[in-house]
Amino acid sequence: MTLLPVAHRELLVDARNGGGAWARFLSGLGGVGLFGLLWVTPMQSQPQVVSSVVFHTLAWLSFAYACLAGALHTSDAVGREKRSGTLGLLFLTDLTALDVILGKLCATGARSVYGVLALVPVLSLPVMVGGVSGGQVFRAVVALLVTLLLSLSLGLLASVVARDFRGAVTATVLAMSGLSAGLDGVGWAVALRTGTSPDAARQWSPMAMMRWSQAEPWRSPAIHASFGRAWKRQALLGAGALAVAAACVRRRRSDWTEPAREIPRASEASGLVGWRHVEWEALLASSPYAWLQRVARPVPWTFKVTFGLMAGLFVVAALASISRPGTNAQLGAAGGAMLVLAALHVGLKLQLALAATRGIGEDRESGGLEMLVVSGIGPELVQEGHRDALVRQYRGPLMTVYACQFGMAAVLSARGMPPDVGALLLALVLGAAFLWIDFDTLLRVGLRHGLKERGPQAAFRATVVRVLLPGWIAVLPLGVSIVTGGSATVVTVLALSWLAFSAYVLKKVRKRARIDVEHGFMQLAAELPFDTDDWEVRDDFRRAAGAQYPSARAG
Amino acid sequence: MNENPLRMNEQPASAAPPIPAVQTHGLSRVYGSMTALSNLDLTVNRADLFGFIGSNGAGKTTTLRILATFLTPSSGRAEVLGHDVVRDADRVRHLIGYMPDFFGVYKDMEVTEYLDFFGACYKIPAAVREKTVADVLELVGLTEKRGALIGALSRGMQQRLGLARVLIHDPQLLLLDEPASGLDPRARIEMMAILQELQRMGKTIIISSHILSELQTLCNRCAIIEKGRLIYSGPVQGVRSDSQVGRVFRVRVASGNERALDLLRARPEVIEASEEDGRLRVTVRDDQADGSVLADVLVRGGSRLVELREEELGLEEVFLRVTKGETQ
Repeated sequence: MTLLPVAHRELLVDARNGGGAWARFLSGLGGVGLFGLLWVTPMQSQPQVVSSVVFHTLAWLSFAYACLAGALHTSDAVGREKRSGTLGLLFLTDLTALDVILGKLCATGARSVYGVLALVPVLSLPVMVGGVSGGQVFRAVVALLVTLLLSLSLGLLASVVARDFRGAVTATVLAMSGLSAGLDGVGWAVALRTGTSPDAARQWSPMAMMRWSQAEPWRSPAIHASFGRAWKRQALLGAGALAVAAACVRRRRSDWTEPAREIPRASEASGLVGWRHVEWEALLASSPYAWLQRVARPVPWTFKVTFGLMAGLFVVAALASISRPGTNAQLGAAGGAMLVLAALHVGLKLQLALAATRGIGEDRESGGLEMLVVSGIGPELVQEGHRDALVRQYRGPLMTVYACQFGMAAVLSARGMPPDVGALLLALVLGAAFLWIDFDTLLRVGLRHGLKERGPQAAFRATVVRVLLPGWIAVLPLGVSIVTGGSATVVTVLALSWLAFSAYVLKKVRKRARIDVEHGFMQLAAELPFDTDDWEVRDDFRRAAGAQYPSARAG
Repeated sequence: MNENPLRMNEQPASAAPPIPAVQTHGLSRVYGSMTALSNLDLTVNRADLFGFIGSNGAGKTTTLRILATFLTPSSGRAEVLGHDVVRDADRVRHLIGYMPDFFGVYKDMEVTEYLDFFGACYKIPAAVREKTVADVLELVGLTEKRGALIGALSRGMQQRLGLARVLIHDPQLLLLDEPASGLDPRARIEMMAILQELQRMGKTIIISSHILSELQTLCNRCAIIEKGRLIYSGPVQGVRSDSQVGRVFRVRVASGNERALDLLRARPEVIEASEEDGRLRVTVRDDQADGSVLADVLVRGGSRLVELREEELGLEEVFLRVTKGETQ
C-alpha cells in the first residue's frame, strides 16, 4: 500500500520536472555565493564580526524565504485541484481530507525543507571562522523549520478557504506578516508604553523566535534564563502550525467544492457613477483588454485596506519622529517608519507580481486568450491592455509609496537626526529610482510568465524570483555595510555597484521577457490542446500572432 | 482477460439479489429558490444499462451527483445497492464509479502513473495494482498509450482514461455523466462498445447522454426527466409504446399511390394515411389491425405491394413528444 498517495504523486511530478533538485542546488549555491560576496565586502571590522554579520544575514534571508514559502508553494496547492476538477475525484476514493492535506504538506514541505537544510552547511561556515556558536546555528535552523511549517500550513489553509489564488496568496502574506512583524511590533509598542516586558504579545511571533535563536546566552543571565521558556514557545509555535493544518482537515466536505464565482458588472465593480462611466466607456473603446482586466479583476479590497492602514502607520511614525527632535524616541520612530516603508515596497511589488501574472494566465487556461487574439483585439492590444490596466489600477499605491519615500527623506533630514544618515538618504533615492523600473519590469515579466507557466502559483513564483530576488540579494552587502558602520566611500561604491548590477539584471530580464512574450503568443497556438474541430481557429490564431510578430514567425 | 479481476463480480442476471442497484424515494434538491430535483422516485435494477435522458438543466447531473455522494438531497432518500447515500456515504463511494461530465486529469502524469495513483487512493495493494491497471487499460483500449503523458492525449483518449479510472476499483455501479460528449463518431461508437462489454461483465451502468439514437440501441431501460420531475421510467420499448397513438406502417406500392391511399382510408381501423417521399404512411388502431390486414386490403384492391414494414418511434421523437422543452 502506498503511504500518502497525494505526496507520492506530487513528488513524482516534481522529480520529472527536476524543480526540487534545482531548488536545493540553487539555495546551497546561493548561500555559498552570498557568503563569498559578504566575505569580500570591505567592512572595517574583525573577522569574527564579519563572520557574525554573514551568519545573521544568511539566517534572516532564510527566514524571509521561510515566511514567503507558504505564498510561494502551498497557497495554490488545493486551489489548483479545485480549479482543474481533480479534487472531487480524490474525495470519491478512500482518501480522507487528512490524507489530502498531509500529502500536500509533506510534498511541498519536502521541497522547502530540503532547501533550508541545504543552507545548513553554509550557515555553519561562520562557526569555523569564529564569532558564532554551534548552538546559535542549531537554534536558528529549528526556528527556520518551525517558521517554514507555520508558513506552509497557513498557505494550505488559505488555499482551502480562499475563493481564488490571489486571495489565498494575499491572505497567506498578511497572516505571516501579522504573526511575524505585527505581533513583534505590538509587543514592542506595549512594552514601550507600559515599561513591561514585551514577551507576552511576542511569544507567538516567529520573528521574535528567530531573534531569540541568534542571541548569545553568555551575554546576559536574563537571556540564559529565558531559554527554557523560549524552547517551549518554539514547541508551541510548531504545535500551532500543526493546528492550522488540522483546521484544513476540519472543513466540511461541501467546502472543498469550487464555489460559483460571480464576475461583477462594471458599475458594481467599483461603484462608479457619472463621469467615471464615461471614462470606462472610453477605456472599452480604446483598450478592450484593459477594460476587461479592470472589470473582471479589480484590486482586492484586502490589499486596499491593508495598504491604507500601513500608509497611515507610516505617517504616524514619521510625525512622531519629527515632533521629538534629539531624543531616542525620534530615532525609534524613524526606524519604525523605515520598516513600514520597506513593508509598503515589498507588499506593493508582491501584489503587482500577483496581478501581472494572474489575468493573462487565467485567460490562457480558460481558452479565452486565443479567442481574443483571433478577434480584432490581437496580441499587441492584449499586451498593451494588460499593462494599461495594471498601471491604472496600481498608480495610486505607487504614488503613495513615492510620497512615503519623500516623507522618509524629510524625516531623515529633520533636526535632531544624527549626521551619518547620508547613506540611508542615498538608499532612499536609489530605492525611489528603482521603484518605477521594478514596477514596469514586473508588468512585463509577469505577462511573460503568465503566458508561459503551468499555473498561477508557478508564474507568480517565477516572476518574484527573476525580478525581485536578485535586487533584494544584491542590496544585502549595502545594508550590511551601513549597519556595520562602513565608511561613506565604501557605502557609495556598494550603492553604485548595486545600482549597476540591478540595472543589468533587470535589463536582461526585460529583454528576455519581451522576446518570450512574442514567442509565447506564437507557441500558445502550437501548445494548446485544440480539438481537431478547432483547426480553423488555430490557423486564424497563428495568422494573427504571426502578422503581429514576423520575427517570432521567422524564428 | 479471463483472469481480469473486473470479472470477479460477473454473475448471471437471474442470480442477482432482489435489492435494486439504485432506488430513490421522493428525492429532492433545492438550490436557493430553484428546485433542481422534485420528488424523484427511481429504480434501477442490477445489470441494467440505464439511460438517463433530459434537457440541459433537467436535473440529471444533480441526480447523479447525489448518487455519487457529492451532494446531499434536500429531502427524500437514495440508496445504492441497499446503502443510504448520506448515512453510508463511504460504503457507497466504494461501490460506485462516477465519471462527471467535466472532469480534470493530471496532465503532467503518464497514463499508467495516473491509474496507479488512483489505485493507491483506493488502497489497492501495490502487488495487485499493476495487474489491475493493465487490465483496465486493455479493457478501454489504451494499452498502447500506457507510457504517454496525459496532456498529450486527445479528448477521446482522455475520456477513455476517465472510464479506466472509474473502473480501477472494480465498482458494481457506474454513473456516467455525458461520457460521449465532445467525442467524434468513431470514438463514440467505441465508447458505447466498451459500455456494452461492461454490462456483459455484470456492471450496472447509468448513463446520461444527449445522443439518444445511441442510447436507444444501447440501453435496456431508461428514465426521462424534465424540470426535476420524472416523466417516464421503464423499458426503452415501453416509452415508445406509451407515446405512440396506434401503430405506424410504411408502405410502398409499385404505382398508384392515390388509389392505394383511397383503399386504406376506406378501412375503419385506419386512423390516418398520407404520402411521404413517395411512400405511404399509415396509422392504424393498435388493437384492431396489423400488417397483414393492410397487405390484404391493398392486394385485393389491385395494388402491387413492394414493401410493408412497421415503423418504430425513435427515442429522439419520443423524447420530443413527452417533454415540453422546459428547462430551469
